[in-house]
Amino acid sequence: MDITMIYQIAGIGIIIAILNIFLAQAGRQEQAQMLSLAGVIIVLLWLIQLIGQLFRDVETVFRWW
Amino acid sequence: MEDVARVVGAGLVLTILLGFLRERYPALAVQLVLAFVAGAFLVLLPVLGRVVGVFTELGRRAQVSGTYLEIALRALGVAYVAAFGAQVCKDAKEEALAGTIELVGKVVILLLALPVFMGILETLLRLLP
Repeated sequence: MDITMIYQIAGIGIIIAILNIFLAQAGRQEQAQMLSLAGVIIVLLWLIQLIGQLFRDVETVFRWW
Repeated sequence: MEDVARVVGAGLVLTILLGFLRERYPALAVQLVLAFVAGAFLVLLPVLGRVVGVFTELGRRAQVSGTYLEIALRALGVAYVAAFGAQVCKDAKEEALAGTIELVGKVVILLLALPVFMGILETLLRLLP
């Protein structure tokens, strides 16, 4: 389940990188930058959930309550 | 056993993908590494939980004081989280952040260990005439 999320993030990264190259080639630098920013933010939202789950699991396993 | 295969496979695939992403899109490369480290730690945690359970049982049978075992477990957890943060920061070439995270981890572990120091000191004072 966690590993699937990693592959999803990798897929998004590759798609956005390729779209970025296309946009840059077409001379649309601003849109390319906005696209990379959007990608970073979307992945960041997933990552926050993942890290939150990690910290919760650490709390339960190592009895931090 | 299958956890090892999953983590190793993901690591190998990501190694190849990161070669491409690092030059084209460095921000997402860091995020991908962060996701992988977090995912691997999440896979590891249930296994570690079982190990911790066995150690708790051993400590209970050997009649080790529960507070000391709990301190050791908490220190282990702090070390685990600090290592997670420090590794990701180091990967993003942020050595200063990694060093600070490690320093915070060490100081917090020292703080957790203080009751044990006090216990040793009290035992020594009782033994000495």
